[in-house]
Amino acid sequence: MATIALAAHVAATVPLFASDAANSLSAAMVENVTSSPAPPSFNNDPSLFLFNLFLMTAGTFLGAMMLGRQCSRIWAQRRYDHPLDPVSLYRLITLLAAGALTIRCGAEAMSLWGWNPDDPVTSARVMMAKRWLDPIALVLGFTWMAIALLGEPGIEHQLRKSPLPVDMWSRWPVLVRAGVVIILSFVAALVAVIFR
Amino acid sequence: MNHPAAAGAAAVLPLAGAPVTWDFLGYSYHPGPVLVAVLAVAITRAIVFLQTTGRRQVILDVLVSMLCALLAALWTQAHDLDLLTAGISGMGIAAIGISIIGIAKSQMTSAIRAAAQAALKAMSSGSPPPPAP
Repeated sequence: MATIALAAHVAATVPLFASDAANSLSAAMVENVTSSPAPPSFNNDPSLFLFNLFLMTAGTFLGAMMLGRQCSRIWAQRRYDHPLDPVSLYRLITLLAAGALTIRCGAEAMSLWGWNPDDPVTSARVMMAKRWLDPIALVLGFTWMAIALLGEPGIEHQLRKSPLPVDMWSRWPVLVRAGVVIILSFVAALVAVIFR
Repeated sequence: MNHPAAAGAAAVLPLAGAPVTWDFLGYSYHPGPVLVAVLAVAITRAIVFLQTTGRRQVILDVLVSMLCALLAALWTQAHDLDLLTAGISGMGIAAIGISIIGIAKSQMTSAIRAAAQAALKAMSSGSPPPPAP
């Protein structure tokens, strides 16, 4: 019954093809969820909201870090590596994956952080922005997969050449910054859930 | 729609609808957005400025980060921002970094210049100032 009432309310107040956020369907939806600290899909589960907020925020910052790192690597080595060398393809794949992660997690984090029943216009705006940004992230992901497929024979041929062992374990300190970002993101999400 | 179940789910979260307010030196603020702004500053500074080397450079970075965090907290408290706007403000202030001192200096200089010009104009105008009531 409440659903029918909500639909009638929406039909009465929202013009068809509303283009501005203030009169949008999502703003009407947010307005009708009274004083919930999280979007209704979390069903008032604070720990689930905390987990999503934490991982989406951390994913945004980690993706941005990887994006910046790959861009600086490509720029620094531009005189030595041809754009179609295997190492350039590898860097491009990583760049596209990082960009897709940043856009996708960033849009979702923006929508989660922007949830506020007292301000339905902002909530509606960020929710619509997420719908527009997600396809861009998907296009980046599809491009990454296409490059991986196209370069498969050449890249695998080059990767089979010796010396094969990769010394990964001496580079643990590189991950310190990522760890700091993850911890701080968790604290921020915890603060947002507790002190809402 | 099952209204008793919805009411029970809402009762799980006692914080719903009652934002926490703290008090600091007589100023009341919402701890959530202020702490989120400070943490956004910390994360942004950690991402951008953590690769510095040298003792003096690290000390400078820490001091500038503390200045940015203080400014973000004050800005959030003054404008009573929400979580999203507080986080974005913190990230922006942290990205400006040390240039924020230059911005403040130019703002102060222009304000002092405008005040001095207004005072000079008031002094040089022929009509006397209105008497105090």
